[in-house]
Amino acid sequence: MSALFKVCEAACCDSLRDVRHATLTALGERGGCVAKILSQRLRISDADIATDLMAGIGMLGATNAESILYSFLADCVFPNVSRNLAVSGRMPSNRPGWQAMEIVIADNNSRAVRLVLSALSVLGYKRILGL
Amino acid sequence: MAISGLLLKLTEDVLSLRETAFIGAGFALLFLLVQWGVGKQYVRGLIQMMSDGAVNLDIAGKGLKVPEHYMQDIRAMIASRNRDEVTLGLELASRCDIALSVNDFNIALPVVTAKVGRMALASFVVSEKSRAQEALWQLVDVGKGIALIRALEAIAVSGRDMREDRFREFEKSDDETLRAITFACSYDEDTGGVGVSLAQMSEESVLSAIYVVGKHPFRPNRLPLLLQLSAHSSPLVRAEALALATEGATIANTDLVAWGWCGLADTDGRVRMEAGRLLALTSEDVCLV
Repeated sequence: MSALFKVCEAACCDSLRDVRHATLTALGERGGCVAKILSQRLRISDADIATDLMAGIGMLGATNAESILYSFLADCVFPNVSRNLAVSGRMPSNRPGWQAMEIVIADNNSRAVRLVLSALSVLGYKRILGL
Repeated sequence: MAISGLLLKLTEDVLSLRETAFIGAGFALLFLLVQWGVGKQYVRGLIQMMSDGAVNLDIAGKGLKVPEHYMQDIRAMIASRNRDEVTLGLELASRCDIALSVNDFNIALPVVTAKVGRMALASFVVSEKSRAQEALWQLVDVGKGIALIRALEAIAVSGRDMREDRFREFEKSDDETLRAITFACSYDEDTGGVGVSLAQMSEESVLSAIYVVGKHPFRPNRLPLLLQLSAHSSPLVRAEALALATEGATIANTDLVAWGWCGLADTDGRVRMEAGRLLALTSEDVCLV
């Protein structure tokens, strides 16, 4: 375990968003040597921590950040959305018992949208998206 | 104009010329009142937006040329004693190269935050160059409390060659913050002693000293001094010391890394934030056993 990995873990475990954001952004400033650490952590983090990790990844430079974030979205986010759509289509309509499942799917979709918007914002599309 | 003409044509048989003139004057007065009200609301809104952070004058740059009557408005804002208006006035004055007097600073500095006061004096020193030192010493002579502290900070930061002996006199001042500022200039001579003295001082005094140390060129013995502030009772002091230690920090400095891990366990979020930043920039890219 490298010292930088330990710092990344400590930052991700902090309850304050400002602490996570400042530490992960500073880690990103270290450049390519932290790319692997941040990208691996991104794949196992929930949406809140993932947005801060993305800010750090954004500091790695456009080329690195693009490849890491697009592959993360393609591998971890878009398949979830497709799966959700498929499940929504199969759910019986007008059955109150399925409401809980609908809420879960809606929540999952909103997280996916949030991650996509964060990634695009980090990649420089913040103004275009009006974020 | 066309509508006014039509109205006059329609009312020429109903109203006399004098009545029409009175109605016209009434409308003009009403219009002026509305304009005055809109102007007041606009300034209030602008100041509110500034305090909310929605308007950022940092992007406006410096050296803006403004007509004389705007300069008078800015001076009136500075003299208003309302914190928001004085802040806006000082920000505008520093960007428009308006030469503020010693009296302007003496009135404004006690009203605004330390950050705004320091920014205004730093900008004054840059724009006035040779005259600045003389004016700052005048401010030291006439100023009291916060104005005196900010003036001495500005002298400590911008150079004190003119009256070194006079500056040294503040080492024995009754005011702790004034002593802290002079100590911050002499930490090179006795880093340990200055560190111990500062560690026992109040939050405000140590923050002034940290500001002065931070504005001087980086020297390696700055780090031992800052390390002595790591156990200060004020979280803001601990956070500022960490933030300053991050500047010029080298990778794998064991003292800094140890301080960073200590800071990351702090109960205060600001300290953890600065500690995280320090660790991210100083931790080595090697595997730990």
